[in-house]
Amino acid sequence: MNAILSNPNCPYCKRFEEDLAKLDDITVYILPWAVVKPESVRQAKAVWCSKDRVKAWNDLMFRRIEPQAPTDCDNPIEKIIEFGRNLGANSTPTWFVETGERYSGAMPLEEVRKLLDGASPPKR
Amino acid sequence: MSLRSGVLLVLVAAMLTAAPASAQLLFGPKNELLDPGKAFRISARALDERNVEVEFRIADGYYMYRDRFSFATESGKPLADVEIPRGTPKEDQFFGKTETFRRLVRIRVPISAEDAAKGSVNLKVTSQGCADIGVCYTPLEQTVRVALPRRKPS
Repeated sequence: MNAILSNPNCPYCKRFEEDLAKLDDITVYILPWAVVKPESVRQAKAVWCSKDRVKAWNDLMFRRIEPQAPTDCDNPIEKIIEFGRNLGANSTPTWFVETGERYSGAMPLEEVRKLLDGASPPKR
Repeated sequence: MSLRSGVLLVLVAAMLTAAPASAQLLFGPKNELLDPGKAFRISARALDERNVEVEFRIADGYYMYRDRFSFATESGKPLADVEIPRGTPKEDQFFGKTETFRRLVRIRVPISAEDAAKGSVNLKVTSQGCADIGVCYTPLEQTVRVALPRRKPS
């Protein structure tokens, strides 16, 4: 398990998410953290308000397709901004493993794999 | 990805709040991520009665974006006509053409006559940068105080 404070205007977030997609047997929680550029807020809200959030996020992140959904649905984007700040995060990507340990940056995939394996050993 | 893999966009506040906020940043001493204020060290000096030079000393392995600088007085009034030198062009597959600075950048900021008359100015400087190890900071706001020389009587 891995939770990321991620942003569509952060090239390293894109790389990190691409890398994580290469791993098997992992659940990635993406928290759209709209802090990098002013337009991040609108983009994050539109992603959240999309019917298929994962598709809208991936389209924006990897293909630069702007989400078309309205931004006025009930959404937690402002709450997530506050939440990340309260955790003391000041950079993207900031990510957390199952033990709650916090890491920064798109580390090389092999290092990430080690950290993930260490944080959540096989349960079977 | 296997069947059990998946990507979810969720608010997992409860789970994360349980995590110790002080959990350490796990970069070894070798590539420890600097505080943004240390990665991008700001200083400022008066060039003359109406111009201030803001300088950033940028740590090795870090860089700043040219188009992310903004300057305001302490009361929040934006300062225009700022002179930022050309940076090094950086072409990003997804983020287009940008310019970045490494090591050092000096920016000239003109001060209004009204502000200059006060003899000193508190500049609110917003900037943004990244580290080569694969992380970008959120916008950084720093305040510098600069004493301005009195205009010589003519």
